[in-house]
Amino acid sequence: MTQRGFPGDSALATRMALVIFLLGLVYVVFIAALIAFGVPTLMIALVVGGFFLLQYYLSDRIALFSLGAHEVSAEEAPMLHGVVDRLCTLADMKKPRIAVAQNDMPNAFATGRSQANSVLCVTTGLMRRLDEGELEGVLGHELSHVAHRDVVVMTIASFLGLLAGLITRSLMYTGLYGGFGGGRDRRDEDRGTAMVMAIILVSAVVYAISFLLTRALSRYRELSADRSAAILTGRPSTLAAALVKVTGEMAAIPTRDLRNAEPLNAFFFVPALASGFSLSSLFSSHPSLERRLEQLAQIETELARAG
Amino acid sequence: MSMLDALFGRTKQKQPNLDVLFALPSAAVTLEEAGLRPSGRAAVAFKPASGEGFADMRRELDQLLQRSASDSGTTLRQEDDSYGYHWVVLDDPQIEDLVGAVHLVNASLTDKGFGPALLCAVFAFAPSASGAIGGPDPASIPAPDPVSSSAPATAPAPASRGGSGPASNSPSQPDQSVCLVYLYKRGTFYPFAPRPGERRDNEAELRVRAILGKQLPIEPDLGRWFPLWGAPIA
Repeated sequence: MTQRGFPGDSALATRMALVIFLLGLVYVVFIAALIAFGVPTLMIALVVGGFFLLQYYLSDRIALFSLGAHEVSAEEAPMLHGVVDRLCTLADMKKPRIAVAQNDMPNAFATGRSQANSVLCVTTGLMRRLDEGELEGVLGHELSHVAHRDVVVMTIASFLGLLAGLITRSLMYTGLYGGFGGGRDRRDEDRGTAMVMAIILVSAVVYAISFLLTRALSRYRELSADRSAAILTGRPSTLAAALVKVTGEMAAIPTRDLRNAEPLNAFFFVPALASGFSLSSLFSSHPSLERRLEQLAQIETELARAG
Repeated sequence: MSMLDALFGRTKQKQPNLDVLFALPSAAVTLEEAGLRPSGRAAVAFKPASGEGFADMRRELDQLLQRSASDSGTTLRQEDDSYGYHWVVLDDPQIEDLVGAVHLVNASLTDKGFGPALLCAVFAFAPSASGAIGGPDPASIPAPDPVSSSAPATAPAPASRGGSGPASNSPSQPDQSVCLVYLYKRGTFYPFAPRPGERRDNEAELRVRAILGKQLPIEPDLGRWFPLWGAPIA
């Protein structure tokens, strides 16, 4: 397939491949370490796997419910449906269901494990602040998340961190109350305690590394979605304007509301962080505004040369 | 999008399928036998991109269209809709000329690498109930805003049923005009029968699908039969 005018971003793809590779590596090493230590891995995996499946299959409903969003029909929101209809036709993808959350915080998210049962949700605050072109850019960004199956990728990617975190915590408990070693004499007990300490240490390290890697992956996927949306709508600067507008508004919103929204950040268009809360770029799930604007400006110059 | 593309978040732009369009004239004959004749109007919609590249292409396309229009006797006008799409609206009594002109737009965009910007092409069909409507009547689509949606005045009046009863395979509402919408990315058509007040006549649409099902690739996924309210083919 020829792609005149729109060269892909190979640097971004390379970095993403590296992160995915490292995540997989950490995964394998961790499982191997668990087996070597003789931890009942199967049991832990079953418990966490259960949670994982629950999240995987119910992610759309959980996210909608926690925001108080409800699905809207084409009659209720003709403009929203019209924009999404056209973008889906341009991109040749199945139209997701559309929901609106009564929330003045300007934001949007997409969720659902496959294209067939994905939901695209926007807040009333977003629709109130953005004009039609900007809203189209944001919807294009969310549709790109759906097309890239980001919910699946990120759920799987964060599974390992979840597992490691759970092991660390549960072993700290059992280790503290001395119930784990179970040895009859003094030497067995010492060895058991050392073993527990080692597992806690390994799990904690795994948790830390996988946390950083998932965050890095999340930032790359945000940039990818920005890129796809800019190419799909053909208007990178309109998306950039929407980003600036939404980010500016986010900082002006009272802190309390924003804290309530934080667990959902991974699926958001712009993460809602309390003002004055400065995370280093290493820990954040979204790239900085400067980085996003820079990429969009670059696509704009590519567009100018195209044709 | 393949699994690998999804994993790396790559965007492969979907290129349009331009060939299926040429099956339309023979399908129009079949539709005419069923009581719907081409109303002599067609339109192409695409999404304008920002940047000089696209602007250059637009200028070339304009010149090309003007020249070919004066050759074939096709009249054309261009306008933007409220969703930010650009429409080239073409008028010509010959459906073959309309298909040719639509293809000219397609080819201009794809040649410059803007094929993915093509949204859809629309061909209007009006009922040919004899005597009821005199002269060529373009399909009318009610505009979304309440001011101009007082369209019933411009919509064709219901045909009188006295004497000649409608043929068994003709649409149930003799006044219903139907558009055939071509989806470039899927290479399929779907019928769109707008009624006043942003409602669609699903019965007429499904009837058209039944009539044309063997001749044209009709979009199987009904979820993609999106309504084109306010499209400038009225």
